[in-house]
Order: sequence, then C-alpha cells, then structure tokens
Amino acid sequence: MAENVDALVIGAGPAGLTAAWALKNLGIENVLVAEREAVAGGIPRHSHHPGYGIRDLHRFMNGPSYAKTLVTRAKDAGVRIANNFSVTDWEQDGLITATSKNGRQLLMPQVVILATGARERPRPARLVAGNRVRGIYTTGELQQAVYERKLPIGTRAVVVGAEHVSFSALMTLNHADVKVVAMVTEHHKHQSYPAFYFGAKVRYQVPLRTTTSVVSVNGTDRVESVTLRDNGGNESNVECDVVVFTGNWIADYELAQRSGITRDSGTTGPLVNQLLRTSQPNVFAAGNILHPVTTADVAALDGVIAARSAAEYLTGRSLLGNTVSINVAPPFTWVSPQQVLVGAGMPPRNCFQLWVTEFPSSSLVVVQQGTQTLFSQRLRLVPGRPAELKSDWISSVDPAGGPIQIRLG
Amino acid sequence: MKFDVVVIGAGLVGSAIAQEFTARGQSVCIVEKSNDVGNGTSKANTAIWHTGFDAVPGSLESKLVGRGYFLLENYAKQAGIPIVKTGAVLVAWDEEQLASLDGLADKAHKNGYEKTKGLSQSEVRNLEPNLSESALGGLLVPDEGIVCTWTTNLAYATTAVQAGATLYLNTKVVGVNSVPDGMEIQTDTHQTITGSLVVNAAGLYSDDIHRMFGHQTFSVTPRKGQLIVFDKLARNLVNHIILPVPSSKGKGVLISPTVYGNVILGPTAEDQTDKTDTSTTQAGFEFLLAKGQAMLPGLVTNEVTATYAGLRAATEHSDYQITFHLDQKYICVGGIRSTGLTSALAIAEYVAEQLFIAGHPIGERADILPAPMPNIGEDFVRPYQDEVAIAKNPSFGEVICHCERVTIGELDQAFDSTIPPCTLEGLRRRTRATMGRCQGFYCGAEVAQRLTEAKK
Ligand SMILES: Cc1cc2nc3c(=O)[nH]c(=O)nc-3n(C[C@H](O)[C@H](O)[C@H](O)COP(=O)(O)OP(=O)(O)OC[C@H]3O[C@@H](n4cnc5c(N)ncnc54)[C@H](O)[C@@H]3O)c2cc1C
Ligand SMILES: Cc1cc2nc3c(=O)[nH]c(=O)nc-3n(C[C@H](O)[C@H](O)[C@H](O)COP(=O)(O)OP(=O)(O)OC[C@H]3O[C@@H](n4cnc5c(N)ncnc54)[C@H](O)[C@@H]3O)c2cc1C
Repeated sequence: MAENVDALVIGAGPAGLTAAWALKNLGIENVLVAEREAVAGGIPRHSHHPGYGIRDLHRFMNGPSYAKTLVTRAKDAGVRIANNFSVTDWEQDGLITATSKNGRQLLMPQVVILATGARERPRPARLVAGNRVRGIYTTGELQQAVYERKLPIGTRAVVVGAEHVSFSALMTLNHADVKVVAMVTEHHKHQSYPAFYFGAKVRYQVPLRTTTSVVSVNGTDRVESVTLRDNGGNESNVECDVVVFTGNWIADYELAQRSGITRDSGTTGPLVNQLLRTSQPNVFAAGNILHPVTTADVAALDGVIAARSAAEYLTGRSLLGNTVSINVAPPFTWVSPQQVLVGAGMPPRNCFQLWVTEFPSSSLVVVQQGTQTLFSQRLRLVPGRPAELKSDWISSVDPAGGPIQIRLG
Repeated sequence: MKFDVVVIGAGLVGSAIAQEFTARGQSVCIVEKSNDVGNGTSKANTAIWHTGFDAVPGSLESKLVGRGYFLLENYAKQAGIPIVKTGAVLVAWDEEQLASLDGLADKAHKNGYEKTKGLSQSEVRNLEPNLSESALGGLLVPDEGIVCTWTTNLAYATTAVQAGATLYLNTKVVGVNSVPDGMEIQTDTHQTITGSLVVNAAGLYSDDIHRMFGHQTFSVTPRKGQLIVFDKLARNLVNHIILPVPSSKGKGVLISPTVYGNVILGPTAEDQTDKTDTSTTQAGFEFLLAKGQAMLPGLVTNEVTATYAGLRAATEHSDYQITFHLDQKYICVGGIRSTGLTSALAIAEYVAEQLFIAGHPIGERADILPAPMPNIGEDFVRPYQDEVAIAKNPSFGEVICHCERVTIGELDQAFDSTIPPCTLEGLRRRTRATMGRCQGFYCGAEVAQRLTEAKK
C-alpha cells in the first residue's frame, strides 16, 4: 500500500530543506523530505569553508553549520526528514518507490518538489584519456575524503578548472597538506573572484596554466603525471599524484527523466516556468537541478518559490494561462527558468540565471520577443559562473508574441 | 608445497581450469601475479556471450566457443551470474557488406549454428529503429547475448577455492625447473611450488611462460581494444547487440547493451608491443565516436560513464594455442584472444578430456555447484529491490552508491567473501560501487573508507 503524503520533497540539500520548511509555513500538513544520504544537508555538509548563508539567512557561515541550521529549521517547523531513504523509481502515474532499511516503500504524494542537486562531471565524462589509476577526484569526492573520512590524499595535485569550486578544491588540498603544482583552465583567465585568485596565488603559490587542456592522466597504479596541451598544440607532462576535476556541472536529472518530465537540453534539468513548475502540473523543482550551478543560498531561495507554487496547487489556486518559452542564442548555453507563465509573477529573487561556457565578446544582454526588444542589461559574463538577469521585463511579454530570445547585444 | 596441478594465471581461463581440476578431486594451486583474480584481460573485454557463428570453421576455437556457449549459460544460471540473450543484429552499411551476408550465414552453418536469419532493410529498422538510415540490411543471430565477465571469473575462482584449491595472489612465476616427480615453479616471492602438472594460463604472458618450458611456437602481440561506456539513459536506444560485418582486420566496432544497463561502443583493434599499456587515447575516442555517430546517431550525445581498454592476447596463429607436453608435465593454454569469456569452461573441459585420452590420471568429475554470486545485473532483482533480503538484513536497504544502487549489505558481503577485494578496483568489480555516472562524486570517499576498514 502506498503512503499518502501531501508534499514529497526529494533531496535534503539547501533547496529541498528550504522548500519543505516553507511548505510547513504555508500550512501544508504532511511534508516529507526524502534524503538518500545518512545525514541531511546536501553538499554544504562537507564543504568546510565559509561562504554559505549570505542571501538566505543573512549570515556568513561555513558549509556544515549552514546545513545544520537548515535541517534544524525544517525539523522545528514540523517537517519529517527521512534519511537513508533513496527514491529509486517514479512511475508516470505519480507512484514513487524508495528503498530504506525498512524495505521498499511506496509513496503517493499529491505534489513533488524535486531538489536533487547537481554534480561535477568526472574524468571519464570529459573523455580525458590515459590510465585508470588511483588519485583522481572530483571536488565533491575530495572534500568528503578529506573532511568527513580523513583519508590520505597524496602530495602533489593538479587542479583542472579555475572557477569558484576549483578554489574550494584548492583550500581542501591545502588543508590536506597537498601541494598544488598546477591549476589548469581552457580559458584565457581564471573565472573566480579576483580576491580568490590573488589570495590563492599569494597563499598557496599556485601556478595557473590558462588556455591549456588535459590530454591524459598517466600512471600504472596511481597517478604519476598528467599530460597537458597548450593552445599552440605543445604537450608537456606535469608530475603529480593527485588530479582533481572541478566544475563542469551536470544536473542530477535521472530521477526526473524516469517520471517523464520534460527536460531542458541546456541545463540538463527539468524545464520550468518562473513559478518553478515542471511539465507536470503537480511537480515542481528547486535548486541546482535547475541551474547547475549557483551558490547554495540561491538554490535555497528557489525553495521558497517552489513551495509557494506547490501550496497553490494543493489548495486549488494554481494559475493557468499562456506560456511563452525563452530560448538562448550562443554564447549562452542556458537560462533558468525557461518559460514565462504570462501574468504570474516573478521568478526566484526577481532574476533569471544565465550561463556561458566561453568569455563572450560583449557584456550587453538583450531580451527580445519577435522584433520587439523587451529589455537589455550589462552583465559580467564569466564561464562557470551564473549571471543574474533582472526579470522586470516579464510583465511586458506578449502572450501571443511567440518565443523570447536572449542574446548578446 | 606440492600439488597435483599448478595453474599459472587466475584469469577466466586459469580459474576455469582450476575449477575443473578441483571438481575432479585434484589438489590445485593457482599462482597469480596480480593482487586479484580476473585482473588482466578478463576484466576488460566486450562481455559478449558468443554463439561462435563467425569463428573459423573447423578450428578449435569454433568448437570450444560453440560448446562454451551452452556450458556458460547453465553455469551462469546456477551461480546467479547476470546473463541475457539479447540476440545480435549484424548490420550491412554498404553494398559490399550486404553481399557478404549470405556468406556469413553459410559460415554460421559450417560452425553448427543454424538459427541466423537474413533481414531486409525494413526488418532491420523494425528491430532497431534508432540505427542510422544507411543500414541496408542485416543478419539476425538470435542467440548471441551479454554476460558479466567479472562475476564469471570470480565464480570460477571462488568455486575452485571453496573446493580446496590454494590461491596465491601477488605471486609471479619467474622460472620453472624439472624435478623428478613433476615441475617446480619459482616465484618472485621465493616460494617453491611443485606440480605433477603445470598449466600455463598466463594470457598475454603465455608466450613468456611457454619459453620458460623451452618452447617458441608462438608469440603474443597485444592487440588493444578501447571502449566507451555510455550512460544508462542510452539503454533504450538499442535492443540487440549491433555487430559490424567482420573483415580481415577483426570483428570491428560494435554497440552493445551491458548487463549493468549501459551501452558500450568499441572495441578498437590496435597492435602494440607493450603488454602493460592499457591506456585509452584521444585518437581512440575520436575513432569510436565517429563510428558510433555513423551507426547510432542518438548514442554519442549521451553522457559517457566510463572508458577503458583491454589487451587481446593475439598471436601469429589464428587459433587458440592449446598444446600438451606431458613429457614435461606441462600444458599450454595460451593465445585465447577474443572469445575466452565464452569458451573458458569448454577450454577447461577440453583440457581434462585430452588428459584423460592421453591416459593421465585425472579423476571423475564430481557435480559441484558453482559458488553463488551476488547479482550485479539489471535484468534480475538487485538487493535494493529485494524486500525479503532487506527484511533479513536491513543493510541491503542502505544504498551507498546511488548511481549503481549498491547497498552497504553488498559491500559487506564482498568483504566477507571467499576471495575478498583488496583494492577499490576489486570492490568495484564485485559490487559496481562507484562505477556509475558520478564515478564517486557522492560515495567514493565513504566506499574507500569502508574498504580501508574492512582490510584491517
Ligand atoms: C566543492 C563545492 C564548494 C562549494 N562552495 C560553496 C560556497 O562556498 N558557498 C555557496 O553558497 N555554495 C557553494 N557550493 C554550491 C552549493 O553547495 C550548492 O549550490 C548547493 O548545495 C545546492 O543545493 P541543492 O539543494 O540544489 O543540491 P544539493 O546540495 O546537491 O542537495 C541535493 C540532495 O538531494 C539528495 N538526493 C538526490 N537524489 C536523491 C534521490 N533519488 N533520493 C533521495 N535523495 C536524493 C542528495 O543526496 C543531496 O543531499 C559549493 C559546491 C561545491 C561542490
Ligand atoms: C577488447 C576485448 C574484447 C573482448 N571481447 C570478448 C567477448 O565479447 N566475448 C568473449 O568471449 N571474449 C572476449 N574477449 C576475450 C577474453 O576477454 C579473453 O579471451 C579472456 O579474458 C582470456 O583470459 P585468460 O585467462 O587467458 O587471460 P587473462 O585474463 O589475461 O589472465 C591471465 C592471468 O595470468 C596472470 N599472469 C601472467 N603472467 C604471470 C606470471 N608470470 N605469474 C603469475 N601470473 C601471471 C595475469 O596477471 C592474468 O591475471 C575480449 C578481449 C578483449 C581484449
């Protein structure tokens, strides 16, 4: 027999925990958060450096304290959090199956909020050739190995990527007494805040190799070197025993895929409108599954909107109306949300998240519907870092005006 | 130490032979230089369960693959090794290939395989709607299938050990010496192991061992095969194994579902001299992706889960190099190039039969049951789906590797098994933990810690 729940939130990261807490505040009775890990909190659980909670909690805290604060807040509001509870199947008719120590459980929720997050692409997914050896990490695995499991890492590391998360990897490696011998990016400069970069350069003396790609990881049993190629085609070997592949995010969309929800090819996550509703009227999404990847506070604040939309659905107040889709032209690879429900209010934090994978030639972003320019804004566009486009223009969208395009001016 | 039989190499072939001899009441020792069984060519192949329809008619390989096909099916079912009869569609992509299909059907017939069926262009399309438009026709081989190579190898070795065989891991054979009652094996661990009979099942190094016995009848040229494993979401793009028309250069690049629910593309065929170089290359990836794009355009846009390469023990001869030197108390089972997963049980049976015929006392075969293997295939109930298993042991309800849905119960089972893993690689082959799309982003650290603790 399937257990009925009013709202099932899948994933107890910042987005899911915030959504569940908000649902309780909106008066929804039975709110269950399914979390497949033994401890709730999502990625911040093992991200032991400060930089969390700024926009949502208006505090500056480290990952684990941030995670604990969100868990406590949700529990205090009456949210049930099921840990070690792994959602494995999702039928088209809405029936959800999960595995836990108690066996297989069937759930029949009235609404679902998907908040399964995002992960970094590992080495094989980037088609980096060479040997299958020990010593290859993503930042996610590295942080857990260092902070949670206290495992030995190595002595000399190459960090692949130079975006925010790459600097987070740098701090972790430093904590584990691993010397970073090179930081490698295909771009012509690093993509984090100047302060992070100069801080790292001065403190850890990390040589940054720009316009350089990783050809192969070499070794017999564990990593012995990586082969790098610069933009002139010259190859060189760097000796190291650790390689950390950072960034290059992909949404954790596999569960969404099983339920038949429409996905956006750009973000890889579910396609949503500004109310964070997916192609299924009772399924909503929040967090990095929608925009891989933003900071945790931004992911968390999605939860508030997703919760409000879910509550409206539960009380029969869902808005219906014309939907207009938003497309992006290169160099943009995605926008989130990707649809405007005309007349239905603003997206989370009154902005759209925009993504580029190359440094663009201009900073002017233009929003256009047909021949009509709705809005333009100058933005700092940096690959591997979301840019926030103001959303005021959605009140002037013409329901019959066809798709909206976002392009470089 | 003295044994009836000493087997050099714990790959599929050596492990199957060890199992055969233990079942015949012989005292057996397996000497393996690696830290695990099945850690050479046997861990990195295409994992096709071949009918042998395209073997060289009349060859020993043809006979043993045909026989091995049936033996493996029975064995896998008894041991709980994932095996699935998907069938294969051999696809012709040009007129020349189309014209050669009749010849292939004829060859299958000569190999004793009668069930091939010619397919028109539209029949191919019906069976495999996602193939590229340029598929002109094909040949259906309904009995080809897929199997798990890791648990197959592990089952042979485990069954042998449980029946009394001694397994020396991390022990490399460096020389041999004739002694009055057999052959003495020298190892890099300074152990002296004597066998009344020595079997060389050293795979890529079978020629080196053969030379230690004074024979130079073949030499192994490693032929690298690189493969790309695609995400499980690609699985419903194909129903059968998609085979190319074989050419003189080998079997060519195929697309196949795996028993774990992924799709593989490969292998390449690159001759090299280094027997240890199993690295993948950018050129290899580019070659395979172009092939994949031409055959199944929807495939290559999927995420890549893993890449790997294996080395076939190719020799200057087209057939297996199985020779008996009973005057030297020595049997060579080398050059088992590209069909050994299917044929290993038949090879073991053949070796025993030949010995029997030669009058060597080898005993009756007892009916021993294969050691049960944990199910790591998707076509059967996995522990995380198994109410009964979880009720008995709740740790089968604790998923640790989320991509492959491996539970803590399965890790513990591997740690407590007859041949426990001593590396992460070994654990991966037994459970699939960390082998999925995230490659350990979520669970890698915890799995590593559990392995470290289990080894203490
Ligand atoms: C190394 C690193 C450093 C970072 N540093 C910062 C920083 O300094 N400041 C900052 O603001 N942000 C930082 N971030 C980003 C921040 O961690 C993310 O933005 C945030 O965690 C996203 O929240 P989320 O809820 O969308 O996803 P997640 O935190 O990923 O949570 C998703 C949850 O869903 C669960 N789940 C997934 N599938 C299932 C399923 N089928 N069943 C049950 N549960 C499931 C997962 O176990 C997980 O707990 C960093 C990220 C990384 C990787
Ligand atoms: C790319 C590729 C695709 C293939 N596809 C298929 C397929 O689809 N279907 C199929 O049926 N077959 C396939 N095969 C073939 C199959 O994998 C092999 O035939 C089989 O694995 C050979 O097993 P083996 O035991 O002879 O060799 P191995 O597995 O290499 O075992 C030999 C063992 O001997 C040990 N050893 C070597 N020297 C010494 C020494 N001096 N002392 C101690 N130990 C030693 C090694 O460490 C090794 O473990 C494929 C092979 C490759 C490479």
